[in-house]
Amino acid sequence: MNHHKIFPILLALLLTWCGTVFAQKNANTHNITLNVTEKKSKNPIIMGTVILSPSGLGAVTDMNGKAVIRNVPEGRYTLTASYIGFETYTLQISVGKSDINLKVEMVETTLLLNNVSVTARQNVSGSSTSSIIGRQAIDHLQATSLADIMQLVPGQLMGNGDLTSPTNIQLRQLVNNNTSAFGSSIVVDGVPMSNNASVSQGTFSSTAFSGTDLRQIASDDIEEVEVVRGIPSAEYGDLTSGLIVVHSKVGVTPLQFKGKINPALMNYSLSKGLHIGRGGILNGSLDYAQSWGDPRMKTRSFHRYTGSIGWGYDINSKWHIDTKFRYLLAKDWTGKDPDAEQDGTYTENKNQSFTLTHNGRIQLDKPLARTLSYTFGLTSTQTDNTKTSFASVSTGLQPILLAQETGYYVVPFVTSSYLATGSTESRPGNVFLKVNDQFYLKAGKTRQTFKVGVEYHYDWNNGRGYYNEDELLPLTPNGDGRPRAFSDIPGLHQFAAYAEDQFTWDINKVNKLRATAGVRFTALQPFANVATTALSPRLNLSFSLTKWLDIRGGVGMNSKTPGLNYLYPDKKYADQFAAQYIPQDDPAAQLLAYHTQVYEVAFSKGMKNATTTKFELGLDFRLPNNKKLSLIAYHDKTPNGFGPVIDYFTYQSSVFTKEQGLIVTPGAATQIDYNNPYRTDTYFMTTGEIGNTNSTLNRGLEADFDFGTVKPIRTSFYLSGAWQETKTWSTALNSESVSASLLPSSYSAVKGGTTPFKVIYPSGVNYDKYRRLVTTLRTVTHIPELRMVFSVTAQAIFHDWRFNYVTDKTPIGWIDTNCDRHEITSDMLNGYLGMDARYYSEKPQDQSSVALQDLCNKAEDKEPTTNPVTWNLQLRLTKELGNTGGLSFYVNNALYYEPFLSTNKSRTLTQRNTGFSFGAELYLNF
Amino acid sequence: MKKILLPLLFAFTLTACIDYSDVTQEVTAKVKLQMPADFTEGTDFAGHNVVLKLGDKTLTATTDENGIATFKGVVPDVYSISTSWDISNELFAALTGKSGLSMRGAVVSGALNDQVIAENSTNEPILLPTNVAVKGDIIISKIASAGSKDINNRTYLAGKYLELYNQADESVDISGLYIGLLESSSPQAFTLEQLQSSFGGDKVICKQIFQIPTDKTYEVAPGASVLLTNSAIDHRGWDERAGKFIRPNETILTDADFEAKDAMGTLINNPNTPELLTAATSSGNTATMNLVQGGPCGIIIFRTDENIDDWERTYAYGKTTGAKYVTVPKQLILDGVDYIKNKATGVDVTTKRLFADIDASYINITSINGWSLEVVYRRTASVTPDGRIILKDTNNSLNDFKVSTTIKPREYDTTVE
Repeated sequence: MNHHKIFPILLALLLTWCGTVFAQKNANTHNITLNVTEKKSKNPIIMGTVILSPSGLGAVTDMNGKAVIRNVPEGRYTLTASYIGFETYTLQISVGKSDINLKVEMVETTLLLNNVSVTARQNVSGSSTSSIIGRQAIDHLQATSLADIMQLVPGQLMGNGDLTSPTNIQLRQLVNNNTSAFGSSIVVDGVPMSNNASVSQGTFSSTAFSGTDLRQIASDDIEEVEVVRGIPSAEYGDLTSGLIVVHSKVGVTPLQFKGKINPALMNYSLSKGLHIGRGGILNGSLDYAQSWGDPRMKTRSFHRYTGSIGWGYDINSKWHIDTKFRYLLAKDWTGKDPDAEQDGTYTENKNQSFTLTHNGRIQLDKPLARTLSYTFGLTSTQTDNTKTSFASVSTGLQPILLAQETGYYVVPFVTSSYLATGSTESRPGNVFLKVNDQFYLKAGKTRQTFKVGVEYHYDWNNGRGYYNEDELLPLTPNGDGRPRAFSDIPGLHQFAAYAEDQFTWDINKVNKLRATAGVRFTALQPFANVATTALSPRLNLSFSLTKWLDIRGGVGMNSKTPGLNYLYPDKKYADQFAAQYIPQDDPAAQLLAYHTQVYEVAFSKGMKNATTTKFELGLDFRLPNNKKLSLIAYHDKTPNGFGPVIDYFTYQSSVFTKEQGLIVTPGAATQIDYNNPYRTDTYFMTTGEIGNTNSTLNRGLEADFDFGTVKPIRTSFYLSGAWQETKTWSTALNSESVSASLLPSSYSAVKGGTTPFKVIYPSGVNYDKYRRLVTTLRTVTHIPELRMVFSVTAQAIFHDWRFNYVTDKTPIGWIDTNCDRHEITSDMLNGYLGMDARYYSEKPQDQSSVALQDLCNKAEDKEPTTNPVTWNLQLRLTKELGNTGGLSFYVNNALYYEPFLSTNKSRTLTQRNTGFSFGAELYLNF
Repeated sequence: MKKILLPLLFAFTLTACIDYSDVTQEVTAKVKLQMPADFTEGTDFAGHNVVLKLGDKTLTATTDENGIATFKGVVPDVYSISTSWDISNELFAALTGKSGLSMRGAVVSGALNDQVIAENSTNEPILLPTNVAVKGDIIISKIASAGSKDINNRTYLAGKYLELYNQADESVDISGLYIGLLESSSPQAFTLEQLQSSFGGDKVICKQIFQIPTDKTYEVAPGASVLLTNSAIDHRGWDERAGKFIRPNETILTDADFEAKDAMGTLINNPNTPELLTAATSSGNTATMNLVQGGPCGIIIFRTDENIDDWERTYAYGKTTGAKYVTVPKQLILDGVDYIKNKATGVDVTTKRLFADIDASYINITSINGWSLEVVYRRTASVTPDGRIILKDTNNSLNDFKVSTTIKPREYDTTVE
């Protein structure tokens, strides 16, 4: 399918539709007027959110707590009213033949109430498979950042909060994978945190940290987090594996101070939500966190300062806006313990970011334009990474290689180690615009909520890139630290359009069909030569088979555009030794020369979006006494993740010696006769191109069992578990140099490890596979009279398995020094390849050769590694101190179970479960 | 009375339960020498010292006319047993029937590692096999492979060197002499048992072989040494910026006799120093001597007229990939030193690379990872009246070598220990 043609057609359709929207007439409908007040004080709830499901219609309460949902068609609906710090109010209503006036009284969330929600809630069937984690759960968890909150998601492991290393999220994935981390989208107040403009120095690294660092998001300013593991709404894009939607606090709240402390970190925050009369609501928060990792050895630290100001305002009764400005300063430091002897070495990563989000919601109340919402986001980040360390010169000779053009260079050199500083200055920025229209249709027993929208992202980076404090004493003098200005990299434009239909069909009182069908179209760099497009259809279905059973399923595609780092890789450099003449008694004649080959890595022209196709099938059981069981099987495949494309070019480089090629004049500078080399070698070099060569398959089964509450002991039981499998492999060319041991010594010892040809083996046959079975049992004991909740979490990893499968190798081809590829058929395997890179059926007598049989290798290790069963126990307690505040405690690994265990393949004992930890949190309301 | 009797009775009952025969008893151990197979014409049993070693503790006993050394009061444990004695050219000729060899006497040596001496062992003497080896002219006398750290605490490896020494009374031409570096992988490519089963114990496994050039004669005077290095410069490293030596304790190798020239240009080569030729290598990317700082770093020297490219190459035992090592015929070896790695748990003698007839034991540095400037060098056996040092050469490195951090190139102890 030609996506280039689809995009203009879609755009045209959208514009046509926009033009017709406002010409539509209202159908036979009624208004719902709500008066929302606080139950105790009867004060109005200002800017509370009211939603009418499944219509998707909604409104925001005004200064008097009043909200009107206009033009509601007749039918049965679920009305919810929600507000920060209050229990969500839910009511089933029936819209008949007249307008409805409703009085809604909301109750403040406290532990005095019978309901408490300190675990993740699973969302309703028919939409994306996700977990919703509310404020009460975040408080009980004593989370410091978004990273901590993730442990409530099924399949995720419990751990101690340590902020000293970057954390990303891998949903339904067992191994840290570049594409998966890069492709996890975090949306804060409607604006995705873009990582497309992150650029790293040097060539592509599959192990470099990518993805959004979850530590940046302070937890105290979060109201609710939704973690979508399944197929997300078409509204969200630019992702592969998962989506995290964060809603920050908006609304009137008391001045609250919060302090958390545990052996690894401390975190303090102050927040307040203020009603400023007709000016709307102002929310402010300040947060400071500090972490040292291991307090006994302060060699790492993390400091985080965050501040935010939010403003909620009603422009008129139909137009509500929320604007938020955020500031973040995060500093990572690694160095010598302050109490140890200092040698001046350290690493510091400073990240400063300014974010503006603006969300508007206009109730147009037109038939095909009920609610128009728009989002604007602007992020500007300053990342400065500085490293000071000694450049080792263990061989006594270190050339300073800085050339950026191909050629021979007489290079300066040092003979002693030295202290050097290198810095990377990155200035990524991002603009985000989104317009969404939502409308509602009803026909017979079916109801449909439509969402259509367009999105535009622009990402850029105008940083100085990598530079050395003293370019003649570079931090990595061996050629890996050449400067690169990020500002030379073009910006990244991304357009997207989507449409989604949430369909409900109440066939009868029992059988109900719910479906969310959507499609999303993305175009990246639409008018450049690296343009790429993607079409992502998505479908979530649910059918209520009986009163107690829903069947759900889904299929969908997620697509992540390559970021600047992948699209515009850095140049590749290769430096080969050319000449050395360093007489100890004649400094003037000393000379060291290198040949530098520079390869302009092709901007990744043919690269596609990384696309994950997700399948899900699940069962939701509603059992007596409020018990619920949810089972879901998933199959996520990403066949085209980002990875290096192995392709070669060859170049020649010569060596000049005093016997041939060097003109030595005692007492004068040594000259090179470039036309008279001692020898000339041909080198293979990879082109550094990046493509879609990384494949991942995730499969698994997730279970979530809510056993309900055992009233006599006031305890609720929840069991969640996941069996997960991840398989990764590379489809890049599998090629190798000939082993030095098979070549004449002239290739290995003298020529410096060149190869006469590259041997090609089958691609994509080796893989890494991981399996894990983890179950988590949570008991929550809630005693409203004591305003106290106590939870015990027991997690067991029953199965932890990995298999790095390497197959026997038989060559299928070779690449000669002209980069021509030749095939090896099975009847050739008893032949030979000569040093001239030609095939010989008999061993050639006039030259050395390699027997093809010697290039066939048997794999030696074919056994998976299994770790023994480990388990962990966590205790948490939260107690409210009247209305003035509250106190929480936790103990992780409460039984101090840290056994030394070995795997099935090694006798080395490794300590498991390390991390007995405890901590406390205190909050006070003023 | 009853009150006293009862506890006493109880105490006696308990005492009766103690089995005092369980306490370890000292034993008498006997070691009997087995003459070398080459001694076809006679024996030399009496008057040789046999050493029993356990950690730092050594017991010595002298053999009787039957070649039996008797040790009294030995605590049962696992010991290493060794012996070594010199014989003259005349005695060598009388015992072996071989004469007319150019030699400086011979040495008879034998060693048993990990020998259990148990309480209940029979009174049969432990049999100690011995070998005889002709004493060579040129011997390996110093291995400086540990490397060092500079004043910035950064590692430095270019100052490593090897030294050979002429023990003979006359000059020796070393042109064409081969220097082999034993394989040093971990786990080792071949254990001694695997060498025995794979090659009948006739081969030694080398990772690199170098050769003294054959373009002319290279005479080594009596008592002179041959200094071989990768970089023949002053390694103390004058730092202009700091105005001081950055490696003040490193060696000055400017006057080295031969230098392995680095084809990759990663080390400074001295154009005035003759080249040490690379004859064979199992690893790519290097033409320099790969002297491993933490060990193992065993060395052999040998001569041959054969083309060593024709010698069998082998992967590590049981492997079909990886480095292909050179197999060196054992009978060609003139001298060998088994330099094995020290570990946090102590030296593991099962990592020996050389059979006992080449080196009855081993030597190691005290550091585990090297970078300690430690040099392994031969002890001085005697000093001739004209002041020429004769180094100890008993084919038993624990006896022959010692470790120093201050010994300089071409320097040896001037006093006999």
